[in-house]
Amino acid sequence: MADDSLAPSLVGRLVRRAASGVSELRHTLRNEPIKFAILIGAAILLATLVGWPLGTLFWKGFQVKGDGPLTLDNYISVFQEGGLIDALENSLYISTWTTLFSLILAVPMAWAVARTDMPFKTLITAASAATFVVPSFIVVISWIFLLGPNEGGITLFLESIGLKLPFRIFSREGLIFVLTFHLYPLIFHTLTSAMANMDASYEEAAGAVGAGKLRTLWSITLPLMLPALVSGVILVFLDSLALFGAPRAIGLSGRFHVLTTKIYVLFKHPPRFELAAAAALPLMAFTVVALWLQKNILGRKRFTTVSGRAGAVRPIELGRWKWAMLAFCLAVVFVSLALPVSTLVVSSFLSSWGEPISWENLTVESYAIIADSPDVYSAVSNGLRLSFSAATVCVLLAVAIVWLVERTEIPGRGLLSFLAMVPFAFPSVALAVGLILIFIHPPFDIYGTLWIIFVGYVVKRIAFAYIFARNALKQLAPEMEEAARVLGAGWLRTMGEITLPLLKGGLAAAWVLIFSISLRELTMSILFYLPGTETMAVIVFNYFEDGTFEVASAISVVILLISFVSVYLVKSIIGKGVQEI
Amino acid sequence: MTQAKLELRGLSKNFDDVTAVDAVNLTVETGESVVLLGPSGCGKTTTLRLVAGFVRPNGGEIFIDGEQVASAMETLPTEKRGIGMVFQNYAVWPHKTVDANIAFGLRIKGLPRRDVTALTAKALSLVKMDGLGGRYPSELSGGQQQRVALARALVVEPTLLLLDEPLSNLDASLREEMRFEIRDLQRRLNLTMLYVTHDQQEAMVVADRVVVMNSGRMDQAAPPEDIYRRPRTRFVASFVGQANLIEGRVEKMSDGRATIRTGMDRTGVVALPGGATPLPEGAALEVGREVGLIVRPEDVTVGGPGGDGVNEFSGSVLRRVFLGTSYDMTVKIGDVELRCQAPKNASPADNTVNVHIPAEAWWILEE
Ligand SMILES: Nc1ncnc2c1ncn2[C@@H]1O[C@H](COP(=O)(O)OP(=O)(O)OP(=O)(O)O)[C@@H](O)[C@H]1O
Ligand SMILES: [Mg+2]
Repeated sequence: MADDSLAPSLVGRLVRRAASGVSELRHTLRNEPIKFAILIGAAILLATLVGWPLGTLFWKGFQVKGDGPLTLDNYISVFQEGGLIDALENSLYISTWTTLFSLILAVPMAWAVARTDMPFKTLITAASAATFVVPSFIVVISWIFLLGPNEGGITLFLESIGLKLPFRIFSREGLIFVLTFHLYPLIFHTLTSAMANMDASYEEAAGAVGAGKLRTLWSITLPLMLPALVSGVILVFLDSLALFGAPRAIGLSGRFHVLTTKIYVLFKHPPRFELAAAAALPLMAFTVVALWLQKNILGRKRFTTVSGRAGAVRPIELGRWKWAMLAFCLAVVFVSLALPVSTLVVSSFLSSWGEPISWENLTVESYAIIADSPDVYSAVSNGLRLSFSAATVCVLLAVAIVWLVERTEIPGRGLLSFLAMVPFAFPSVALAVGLILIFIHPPFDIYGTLWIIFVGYVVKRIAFAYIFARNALKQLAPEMEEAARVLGAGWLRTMGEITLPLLKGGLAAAWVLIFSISLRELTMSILFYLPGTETMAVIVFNYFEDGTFEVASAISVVILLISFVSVYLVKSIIGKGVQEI
Repeated sequence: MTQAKLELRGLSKNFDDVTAVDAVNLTVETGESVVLLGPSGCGKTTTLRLVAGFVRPNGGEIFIDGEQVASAMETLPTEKRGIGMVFQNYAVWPHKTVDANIAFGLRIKGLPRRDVTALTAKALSLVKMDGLGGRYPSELSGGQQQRVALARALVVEPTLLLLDEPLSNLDASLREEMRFEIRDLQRRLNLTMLYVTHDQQEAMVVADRVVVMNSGRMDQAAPPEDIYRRPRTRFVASFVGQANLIEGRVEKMSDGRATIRTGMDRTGVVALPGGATPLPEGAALEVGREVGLIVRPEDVTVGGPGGDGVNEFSGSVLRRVFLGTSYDMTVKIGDVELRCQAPKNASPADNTVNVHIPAEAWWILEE
């Protein structure tokens, strides 16, 4: 009965909405041609840059061979021929264990920071946020310094006291170790913010009926945290699947491939883009499943425990155990941040890698090399130009799209919002494959130029700009703009004099963030570069692969400095909250 | 400033399944102040936004000075309508000084800088904000921000001024002061004004005519006094002021009076309006007809001797609350619970009281 009446009214409503949207569109075209051109232009640009490559990728991924029937057998044989099955297996093995170990590190830390009286919480939180600022291809250089089989600092030290490392760095286990300490902050931060919002009365109630602290943690706190936990787990799993830098550095000597490194090989020598598309397909599939899970299972339950009493949470007293907890947290932070970063700095001053650390062996030679090198100079210049234009274009495009989505009734807004957000979750390698499939052919044959790297940066980072711009615009009352319109200002003038200045904070933060992330971007840059279009990260990687570790470290230190400075800038622009990004 | 006349003809707007504005007809004459009054969600803001051009109608037309500015087919962009608007949340731009806020509309018009400065200063003093032009909105109180919003709207000499609950974010005393000020400005500048509020006292102060809206429809449009004294519908009667709503049936009609049987213990005699107060349109009475009657609590006399012996009832006191200047009493007469207001010295403590409702105190509703 109810269904009978619901369905037609729903259809009717959709039809009415579409009709009113179309009429708005027509009306805008007639009365405000400039507004129409800008907004529709932005929508078309977004659809071209994101929708087209992703669509092509899905399409080509299933057509691995031009000839031959499109069957599963065919597909599997192509997979085997390219060594893709092994790569897929490795990827899953590494991501699964990385996720598990990240949980073991992050869950106790998050609990200690959010709910107990452990000291130095701010330090722990800040340090684990900073961990994430250091890109994986830089961390991995440090770890190879420390754990390398022959000259690694820790390896040598352990040998001198008759011990051995439990794993080799150039192996899947080594990669799991590196990734775990690189990615655990994702779970840590989702959990701490969820726990900080949790209503403490649940735990108090459990305490009142005599449940011990551990018992309470197990049976009350953890189940309530499940949604946040699952989304943290998804993030770590997807990120470890999508990373390229660390797997390439370790897999090269360890002689194994994961999906991303396999795609890299299929890009380069010789290029076989169709196969690369097939290899990207599992990555896409996991992303789609994760997005679906996130939306349908977690979306609804997410905020059930938030009661607005956040301020009233009473920390759990750990007694003497708080020092043990602190030691654990400090150890994790030390291993994940302090140790790799200091190693990197020290090795950038070493005259030759593998020498013992003493005053005689310290030099600024590496920095002199990078200061003199025309390659480095051109890479820095490329990086600056690319990052500057990508950040600017992302922000402008995002503003137009957000305005279209939030302030108009034009049909297709949901799709635009989806297109702007979806690259956020998709691995850079997959996006790169999609882009190359389009941009290697005329009329857009820009492969080998800086343009394709630029397009890649824009596509990958548009989501950041979109989220920042959307949050900013949602806080801006439409009346601010309407007041200008009433006074006789047209749309463009209102945007220029009222909207953009009022969104300035959020947009500036997005700009700096995109600029700094692009400046050190590795994956797309290395997939797309040809001689002459290297960026800083590519140079680091090339020096590293040549075995010139000291110079690679020196450039890495420079990149790190830039990264930390820009994160500091973002933070001071938007206050806190940057960790959630 | 030349002021315009505003006409809404059969204006309608739906959002999905909600009919926010339902076939509204309204004319605001040149220099007239009309207030849209109604409960939350009745479509006041939507009506205003239709006039401003932020919302496009599904049906009907809007005319400003005889020129059609909106219909379901065609709408003139907001900036070409020559109106001024003051918003509930002020919408004063935080990144501009008070002066820059006010000057914005003048700059858009392309006035020379000297004129902009002079007119801005004049507008500032119009709203009693002299000397505060250099401040930023964050350095102003809510009332001052609202004055800036008013000055910003007035400085461009709009032909029509729209205000959407401009005072609802202010505290009570400021609200009282500002409503007189706005009314004063409106009279002085002879503004055509459409003003939205859900506060009836504000409506009474500001309006030449009050329009009571009820779920998207106009229930009544009349001067404030008529809205109170001669409400057309039950909704208007109960929304504006307090009213006892009594159902009855006409038994007899003679000499400009009707005898009506209600749920009270005996029939009442009701003075039929005539002469100076004509019967509302369509309210032709005949014997046997069911009618709705209202009686305002302050028109009921409690205790004391009755006048002419008619309309005297006796009832039991259900509730008695001392309000300082009077008592608020609820008296049960037959099946009817009558709310009445008794002078503080005229309230016997007994449980049974005599109540007198003069024939002139009754009002017959139209529907
Ligand atoms: N943009 C919109 N989308 C959907 N429904 C809307 C929209 N704007 C208003 N409505 C609906 O239209 C009806 C009238 O809303 P309107 O804002 O005009 O009421 P109002 O009389 O101004 O109320 P209030 O006193 O609360 O401001 C309400 O039911 C509201 O929910
Ligand atoms: Mg309103």
